[in-house]
Amino acid sequence: MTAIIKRELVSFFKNPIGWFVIAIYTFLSAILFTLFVIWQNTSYLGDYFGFWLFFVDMIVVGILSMRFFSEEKKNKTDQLLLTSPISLYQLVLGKFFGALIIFLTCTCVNFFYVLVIDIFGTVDYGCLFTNLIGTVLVISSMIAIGLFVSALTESTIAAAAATIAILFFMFVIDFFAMFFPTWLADILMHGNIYAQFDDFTNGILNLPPIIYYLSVTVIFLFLAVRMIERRRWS
Amino acid sequence: MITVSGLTKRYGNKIAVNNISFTINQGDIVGILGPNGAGKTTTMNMITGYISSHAGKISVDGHDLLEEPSKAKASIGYLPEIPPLYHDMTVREYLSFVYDLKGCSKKENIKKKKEHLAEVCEVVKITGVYNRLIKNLSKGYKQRVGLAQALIGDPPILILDEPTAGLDPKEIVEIRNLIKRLGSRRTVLLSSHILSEVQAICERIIIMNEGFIVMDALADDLTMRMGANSRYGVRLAAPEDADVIGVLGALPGVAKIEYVGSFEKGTIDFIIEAEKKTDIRRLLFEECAKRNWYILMITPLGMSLEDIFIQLVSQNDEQRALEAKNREKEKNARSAPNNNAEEKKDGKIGEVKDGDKNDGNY
Repeated sequence: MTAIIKRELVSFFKNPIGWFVIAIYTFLSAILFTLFVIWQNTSYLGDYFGFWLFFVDMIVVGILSMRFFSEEKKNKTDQLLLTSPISLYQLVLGKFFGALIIFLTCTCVNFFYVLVIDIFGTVDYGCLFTNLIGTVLVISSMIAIGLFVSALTESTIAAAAATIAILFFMFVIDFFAMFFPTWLADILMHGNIYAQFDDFTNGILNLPPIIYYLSVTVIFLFLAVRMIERRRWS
Repeated sequence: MITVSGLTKRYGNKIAVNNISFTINQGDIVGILGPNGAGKTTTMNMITGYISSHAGKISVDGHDLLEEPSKAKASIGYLPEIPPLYHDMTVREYLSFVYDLKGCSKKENIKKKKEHLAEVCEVVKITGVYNRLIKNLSKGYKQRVGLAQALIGDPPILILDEPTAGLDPKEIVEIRNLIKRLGSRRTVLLSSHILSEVQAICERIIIMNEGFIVMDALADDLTMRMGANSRYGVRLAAPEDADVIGVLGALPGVAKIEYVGSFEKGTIDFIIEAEKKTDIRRLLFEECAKRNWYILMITPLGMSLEDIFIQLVSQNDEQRALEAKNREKEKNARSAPNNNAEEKKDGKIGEVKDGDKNDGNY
């Protein structure tokens, strides 16, 4: 698993696309920080970490998902991975942690923003802490979804588009709830990936959202493993 | 070393590999030969665990591939048709990654990373490009890096899928020699659709066509089995006016005789071919002795592997067509009595015959 993580990191930082992703994240997060913190003349970070940064995360995970399995399949390097003496779980977890580390590297820019607030105001470290925990959990579930989608297709573009589409659907899923019977509408309302993030932005560390994000992560990682396994049997 | 039994793989309705079985012993260099679409790559992909089979069992180095996949895979070094290379890595980074991926650092019998990689690079002769990006290497070097990847961890079995595909003649010879060297202390299974390649490298050949094993034999036996004793190159010392071709061509059992030329003074060279399952050597000798013609040289000319392959594949096709025809006949024969019985039961059989007769009379 460590070998896969290492390979992901080396590959990400050696390719222009890696630096492009970091640049996009930094640029967009800087705009959001200016809009929601500096222009609002506040030290509250909840609005910054909320709605719009979610979209940025979606785009970044979408771009990252191209590299997970679609690219390996396209370049036939999956033959090396699948014929090596590691299990599919190790392979998928290696990819997952690799992507998570890459994403966390992107989010390091947030510490710079915290420093700015610390110089000119007071940082609410409790709120910052819950937002960071929430971000890690959300990103984990998004990456797991991206891994699953990437295992479905050989096309890197399709993987990115489908990942963004699915994440967007999970973002607006409660809008569709009104078209369904009550029992299903309830489930859909709770399925909204953003709604679960509210507590974190308000500085609350609640168990249900944590369980929600962990469940999504585990389920989609499991589905990614099953999908790769299924492709071997088809 | 490798035991395959009843292996089957389907892609939708198409059966890519159809119930094949074979065993490869330790130290064997075996070639799987067949045209494109014969099922060679699918077979190799199943043995290496890249894809799963729909039926059958695979055992590698005593480990069942389904029950102990990690142990079975650890015994194999696999070079697919397109080497699985990361073009954004240098050779050093790539081989280091493969070393970690195969968990070599935990194996007691494997040397430390630096030494092991240096050793493998030395064997496949890529030391000169060790620090270069893979994407900048020539096709031949990429193939060597792919081979180096397969050798990492010192696996006792090497599986090579069309290892010389797309290389230039010089590189082909070099890679062939390299495989031969590697095969001296390893079990090697390689596939190719280039017959001369398999002939040059392998001791045993498995011929596949449309998912079936058409033949499994030692390379030398294969040629002999397919009629090497029926074709000879002969050099004969005979008077200039003698009608050698006419006389010998008229012998019973001679299918064909072909004049080749005169390469020594007072001699002629020809190729004589006997009918199937006929040994013409004695008759040839007796006829020549009777006429005081001296046989200076007689060389059995085995069929080339190309000839054998075409013959086997066409035989296999004919056999399967015959089997299909027989099955159809049996099916018809089985259904015919039932039809008759039904017709008798309805009391229609006589009526029909009468009707036929009437039609004829009119």
